[in-house]
Amino acid sequence: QEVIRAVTAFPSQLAFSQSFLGFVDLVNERGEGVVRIDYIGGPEAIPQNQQLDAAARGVVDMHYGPASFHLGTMPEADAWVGSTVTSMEARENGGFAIMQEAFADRLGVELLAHIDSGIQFHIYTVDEPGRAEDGTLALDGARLRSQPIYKSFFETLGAVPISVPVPDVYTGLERNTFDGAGWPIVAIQDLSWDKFLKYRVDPGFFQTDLAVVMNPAKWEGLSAEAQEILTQAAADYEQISYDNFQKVIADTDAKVQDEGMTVITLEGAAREAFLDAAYDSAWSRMEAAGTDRYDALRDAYYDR
Amino acid sequence: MMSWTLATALMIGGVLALMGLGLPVALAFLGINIVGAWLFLGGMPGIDQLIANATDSVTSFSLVPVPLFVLMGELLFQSGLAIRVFDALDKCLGRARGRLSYMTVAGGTLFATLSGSSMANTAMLGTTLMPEMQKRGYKNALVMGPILATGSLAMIIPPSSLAVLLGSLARIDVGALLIAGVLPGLVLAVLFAITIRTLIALDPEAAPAYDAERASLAEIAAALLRDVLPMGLVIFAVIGLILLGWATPTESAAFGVVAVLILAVAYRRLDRAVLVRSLRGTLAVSAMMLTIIVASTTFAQILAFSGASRGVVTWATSFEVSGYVMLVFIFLVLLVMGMFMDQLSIMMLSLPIFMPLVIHFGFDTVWFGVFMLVALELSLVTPPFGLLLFVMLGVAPRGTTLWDVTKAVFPYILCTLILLVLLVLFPPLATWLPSVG
Amino acid sequence: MLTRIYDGVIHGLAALAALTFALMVVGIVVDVGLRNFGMRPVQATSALIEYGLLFATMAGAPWLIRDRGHVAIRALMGLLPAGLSRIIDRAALVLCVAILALLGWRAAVVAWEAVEAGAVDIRSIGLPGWILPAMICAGFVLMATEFLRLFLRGETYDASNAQH
Ligand code: NA
Ligand code: NA
Repeated sequence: QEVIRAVTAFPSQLAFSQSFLGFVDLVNERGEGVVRIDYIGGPEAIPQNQQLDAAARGVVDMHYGPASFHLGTMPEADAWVGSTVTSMEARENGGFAIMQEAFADRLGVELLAHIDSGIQFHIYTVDEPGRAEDGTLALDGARLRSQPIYKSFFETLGAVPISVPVPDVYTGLERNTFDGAGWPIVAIQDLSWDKFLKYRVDPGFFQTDLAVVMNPAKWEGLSAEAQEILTQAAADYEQISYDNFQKVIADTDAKVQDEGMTVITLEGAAREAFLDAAYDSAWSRMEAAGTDRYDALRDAYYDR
Repeated sequence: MMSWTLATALMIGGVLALMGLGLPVALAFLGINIVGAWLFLGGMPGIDQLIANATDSVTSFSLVPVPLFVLMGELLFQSGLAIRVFDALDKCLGRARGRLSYMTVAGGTLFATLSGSSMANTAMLGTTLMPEMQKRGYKNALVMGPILATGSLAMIIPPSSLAVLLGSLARIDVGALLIAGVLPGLVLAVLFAITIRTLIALDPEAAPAYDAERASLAEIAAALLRDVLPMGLVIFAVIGLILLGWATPTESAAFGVVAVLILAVAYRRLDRAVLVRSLRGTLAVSAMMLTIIVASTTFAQILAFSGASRGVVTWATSFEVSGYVMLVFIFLVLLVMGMFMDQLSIMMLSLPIFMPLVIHFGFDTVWFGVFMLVALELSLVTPPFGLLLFVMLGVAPRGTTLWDVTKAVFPYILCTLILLVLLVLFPPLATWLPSVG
Repeated sequence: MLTRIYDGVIHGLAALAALTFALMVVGIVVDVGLRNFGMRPVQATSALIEYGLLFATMAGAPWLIRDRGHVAIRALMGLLPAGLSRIIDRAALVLCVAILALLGWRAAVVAWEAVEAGAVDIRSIGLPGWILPAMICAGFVLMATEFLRLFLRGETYDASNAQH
């Protein structure tokens, strides 16, 4: 029996890591006697940003975390950030194979799966966001807590992106240090931010970019049977985790609205302009960074 | 792969041995990190990983208050502003024995409401208050004890970045947890004051009485107006800007520095020499602390990677016992891990195991969050690896030993234990404020 | 001549480290000011401050060895006979040099790998991935030479000399 040692970019108790542990269970169930994944831990064992390199070095065999952490080294990560198709579709249409190449070339790891896809990001605000006459958002000068992947998008909206560490955000919202924040639709309640963020802008934009990668030598060294089990489990779990999170999204959406969050829905041209700005920011960032995979990735991952 | 018992013994025993041989604390950790990385992370790639991990250890914005509050304390001390405040307060407090110790508790508690970092708080108190107290002949238990004890209050009384992280990792309402820390924090401050009173009763010479001339009411009022009231600017710069929403708790440390600079200029106490001495002192304390953080954070990561940490937690919580006995086990685990690891790592490791137990036994999660924060606070001051002990050693005068610091802080550790018992006996101590707030 | 240049480097880096703390204050005050006056804060500030924390640590640590400012536990050594504790103290210096030289070397390797991979560290702005390991390399190597200097001068590292 072959053993694979895995780490996750997030602490084990958080929802995304729990989802990865579901993948671990699936592999261990199907791989009994052939291959097993041992979970080592999260950022307490290896810091978030160093885990992928740890997998490339062979310090661990498997890593689960956001591809965009490595956007500077692998601009192709923006294909996932700016994708409008599910990871299952991309596996069918060849996009996934191109990303496997990118992960191998740029980061030196074997890409196994793009799980937990289909979760979008939203802009949340403390006060009702202003609207221009044509229905577009008027966020001029709004201070939004931001992350690197949507910093430039927030700038095109006229907002002021603020980078503040997560533990400071609660007090910042409480004291109106910022007017809002970007965050995935799930997990908005985990940090109690929903106490202050009373407005959510729909539609959501972007998509989660969570990869499962392996050390290439470890992967090559596995038996054909073990590789087959892992590949099949990876493909299946892309669908399983997608379905799981669609349910979580629906539940969270109902719960936050029930608890008083107002959803501001952009319609028609305003909606299109908003989404254009979001997705263009990701795709033009990739184009500017320079990669000959741009066209093929855009064909495969973007169908708006 | 080595069993977790052997891994634990090797890593912890190794650091203790190197520290005992007199290596600088940071080097003792680094030396064992090399061994641990080689064994558990796997040879030379493991050591490369150790380097990569080290690049992440101090490059975190949440550590900014550590050097900046030290800088603020140095400026207060080197410019002579701190002494003026003491002298003025001295006039008001008259002849109360040990008044500087009480002032440490009061000032430290006030500072806990400004700062979310226990390390920053302790280093600031240490640099500002310690020289003056030593000069007046106070014994260690009344100097270092109160500084360490109240320094660590910063993470119980909001704002507290640790409470925010605990809340999110344990799925506890962050707002409720922050408010829940207020009363226990204040109770702890009162217990510290009672301890000082008791220590002075037992050994009056620990706080020598010195002649403070009896000041008239007019003199007292003038001193307060001239020397104490302007300190309100510093308080405003730190807490006021947070309350107004202009700055986050982490950023506000910088404004504390600016406020002290403004006061020093106003009092004509700022010159090149003061600035240079303050920056030099800040570098000495901060570089020492940050080097230890680089070394001890990576140590905790290797310990977690080896499975030793999880092994200890799982083993200790695997017994079939009642809820309150389990709390004792949880406390002991936190205490022991706290001796060797940083608090964030402890939380990430132990919460997935603790929280199901807490829910199984029907404890209130906010209440447990406070219980855990208080227990974690203790870990900062327990030998041999409590970070605050090293901070204290770094700012203490020559010849101070780890044993001196430990002895000094021991009575205050008892206060924390009493608070934990009080929390168990009267849960509303933690749960009442959030329920009305 | 060479030693004077070397001493200049150690003290110059310490001065830069101290200056870094002052610059952090300036950076934060400017950033918060801009934000509250409705202007766009400088995106680079938080990333540069985070880098500044490691820079100040690594630039200040070698000087701190000279200043005997790194905390060490000396109680046990005080119990030993003078001859024995002197031998151990000398051996401890060699061990410190070895530890730091090994880590300094590997940090250089990690930095070089980051150069070759074109790695970028994404924070509030993206910065070249080799900078942080290079800082660690320089810091550890200079710390090693400081311990070596103590050894060659026949001194011991006794932190109870720490002064403020
Ligand atoms: Na606090
Ligand atoms: Na500790």
